[in-house]
Amino acid sequence: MLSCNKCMLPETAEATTFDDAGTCSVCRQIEVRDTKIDWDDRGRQLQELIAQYRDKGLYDCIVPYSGGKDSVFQLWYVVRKLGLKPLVVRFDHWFYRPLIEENNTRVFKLLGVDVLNFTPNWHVVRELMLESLKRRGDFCWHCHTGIYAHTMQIAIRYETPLLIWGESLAEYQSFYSYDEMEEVDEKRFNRAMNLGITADDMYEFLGGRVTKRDLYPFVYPPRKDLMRIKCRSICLGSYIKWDTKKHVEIIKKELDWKGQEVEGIPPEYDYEKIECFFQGVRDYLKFIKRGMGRTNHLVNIDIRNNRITREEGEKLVQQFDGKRPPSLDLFLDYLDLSENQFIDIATRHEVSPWQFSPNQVERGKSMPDMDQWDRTKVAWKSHPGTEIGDKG
Amino acid sequence: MSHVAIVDYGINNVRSVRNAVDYCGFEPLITGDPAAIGDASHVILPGVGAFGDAMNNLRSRGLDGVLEQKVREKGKPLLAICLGMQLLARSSEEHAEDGVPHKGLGWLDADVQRIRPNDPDLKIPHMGWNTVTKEREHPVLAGIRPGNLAFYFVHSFAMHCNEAGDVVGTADYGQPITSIVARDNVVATQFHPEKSQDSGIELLGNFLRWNP
Amino acid sequence: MLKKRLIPKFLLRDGRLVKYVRFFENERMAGNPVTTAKVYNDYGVDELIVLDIVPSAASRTRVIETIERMSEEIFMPFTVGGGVRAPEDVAALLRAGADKVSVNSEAVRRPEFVREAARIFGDQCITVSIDYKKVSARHSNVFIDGGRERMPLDPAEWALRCQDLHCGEILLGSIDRDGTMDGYDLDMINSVAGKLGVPLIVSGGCGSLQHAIDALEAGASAVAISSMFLFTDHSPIKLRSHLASRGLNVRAGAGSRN
Repeated sequence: MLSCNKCMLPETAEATTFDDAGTCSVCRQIEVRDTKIDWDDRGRQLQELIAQYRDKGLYDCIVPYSGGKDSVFQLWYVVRKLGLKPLVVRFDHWFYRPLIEENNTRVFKLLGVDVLNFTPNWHVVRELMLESLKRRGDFCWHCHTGIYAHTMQIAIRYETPLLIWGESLAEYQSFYSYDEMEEVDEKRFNRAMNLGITADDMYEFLGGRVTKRDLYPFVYPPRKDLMRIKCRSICLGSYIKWDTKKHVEIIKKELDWKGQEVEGIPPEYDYEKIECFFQGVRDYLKFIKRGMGRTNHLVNIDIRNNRITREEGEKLVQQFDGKRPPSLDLFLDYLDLSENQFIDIATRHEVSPWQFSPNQVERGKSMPDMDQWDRTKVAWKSHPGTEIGDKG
Repeated sequence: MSHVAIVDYGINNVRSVRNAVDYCGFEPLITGDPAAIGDASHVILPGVGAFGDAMNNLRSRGLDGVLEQKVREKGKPLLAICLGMQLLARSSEEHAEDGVPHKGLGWLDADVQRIRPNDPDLKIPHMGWNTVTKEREHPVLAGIRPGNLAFYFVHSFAMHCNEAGDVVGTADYGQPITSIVARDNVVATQFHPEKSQDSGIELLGNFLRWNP
Repeated sequence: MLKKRLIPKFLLRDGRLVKYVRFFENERMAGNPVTTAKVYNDYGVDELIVLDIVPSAASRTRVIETIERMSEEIFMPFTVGGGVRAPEDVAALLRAGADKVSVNSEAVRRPEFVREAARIFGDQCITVSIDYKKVSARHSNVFIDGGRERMPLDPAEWALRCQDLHCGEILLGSIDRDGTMDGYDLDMINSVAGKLGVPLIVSGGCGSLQHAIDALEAGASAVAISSMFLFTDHSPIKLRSHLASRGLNVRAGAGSRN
């Protein structure tokens, strides 16, 4: 399996290509970010843009928010640096860890913002988790589509056309490059967010197990409705030069934001993906399918930003990636699957040329708050089974 | 907002062109009416099928005269697509009877000839996505990045321009294929922008925002 | 140079998107055809093939509605087929938004129809679709009527005869390999591709990125893919970037634009 000769991104990464020098397209994008973008000019463009939206409606903009390091920074920037009045829109994916709620309380109190939270029906979410796991080896469909589609619906309902998202996808992947002004629109939704599955597709897949009304939160609104409100859905990362570590320092200092340990990565990355207690399972699936875990991802960022060498990165990846997360026990319980069934489903989705070796996997470390993650059991009327096309 | 006239002269499938104009945020009107063409902000001449039939259709509806007076003379922006581009030439050898080529509108010093690639493995028609090389700049290509200059072609005949300055873009198919031509208020593509995804929509949008 | 094409294939039954193995086994729902087409369009596939596998007057209406809705926001070529028997069928599908019409059973029953349709609508509008299955260790036969009726025709010979009927391209599909994700029928591609003067689209069996490479290198102009995109994590984006990285001549857009 080929990897980039600069960072450690493997060829199984989605949308990535390697050039003749053997360097990946993401490394090249970061070079563009660092050398070819006039960030002062981008900053000016941002000021011009927000001037068109300031004080025009109930809110100046929407800031989609999870409570992770990026969305907290975005919110801070919008309120404290841009001086805008946002509507904070939060989508509850059901897996927030207790620390997140504590962080959010501090963040919202200190910044002073209106917050809208939407929690989708758990019975529906569970069906979606299992179906997307079967079809793509990824159970997070409801979360990605919920965050992106539902937030656009809110923009229409509240007639707030400006949405300010966070980093450009060009930071980590090659769906976009830095010389484009990334618009967080339906095309991006289809290419990079919804695993190629729309709510209408899910309705067909689930064969009557959910109704169309059950799926409305996951439907991307029609283009004409977004054009009517003159929607602009931008990435803050197109206008300011993204520096994750610097942003984390700011939110820790300004908002007393706290990080915590996360499954399967070196403890010094205590700011990364702290908001989801199934992040370990998600990373494990990515490792089974593509041979890369979250440590690989974090190490690549640090290599590209000249914070560590590739040799140092290799050691960390070797030490931390690919372990079986303890949260998998809870996940299997949620979906009533055995571990064999889980591995069987996941390995169907291996991306060539990677091949997973189940017998070489070690168990990873448990998280200290694991016993606080909810264990309420909801009985299935009938289990949907593990094969696509099972009628359940 | 005034409309964009899509010339109706009895040929197949203007639906995609119509939808693409709508998608770009403009108001399409499929019409053969001289007044409607005259009032349009922009005019599109689509085209699929045989050259001889197309010219007969244009002439029998008087549209050759309408295009001459209301578009060419008035400097109204015109985008001609595929066969529409070929109609701008002086002549075409497609289905020529007794070796006598059909006459076109003659707006460009060019003739249309059968594609004869020098590689026997290359099939006719030239059908599929091919990369266009820019020979010169033109407003319709604004903002389209060099890596995105692939468009969808489907044709068996191609235009040969005697005036090099008319050629904006060419593709390679065992011989150079004239892909984009332009002169004054007229621009034309051999490929189908309405079938060329983002690059095609961007080109079409650029045309609709062009005021020469 | 002209690029090789990556083409998702849609099978519609009563207007719903479905997928089988070997044409009849293990029916699974494959999603909503209009939104799935939009997704593929955003992925940057090269065109779309849509086939009505149990054609009737009612299903034709649904297919037309589906194509019309696809045409509103999707701007790439569509090939549509299923139950095409007469010029009116071709005209109706072209009017709905199809760029090419696929003819299968009727081409076998009445080869003159292909010639007639090519003359009326243009060669490039007519694709001849051929489904075939092994009938003995060394021979295959053409099957028509959605793979139900066996014809005493060798698929390679039939394909070569079709180009004389002035069709624009040929879609050659292995029933044995359909939905198995075990790879294309490379022997068939090798025996046909070099001799055909019209483009060859191959169908049936794509399950990995390498399968697509093998088929294209064997001489296919395009690969039709269904199961791999529906049931694995190999997306069209992955396929394109993988093929481009390995030097195949496919469209590889820069950044997000296709």
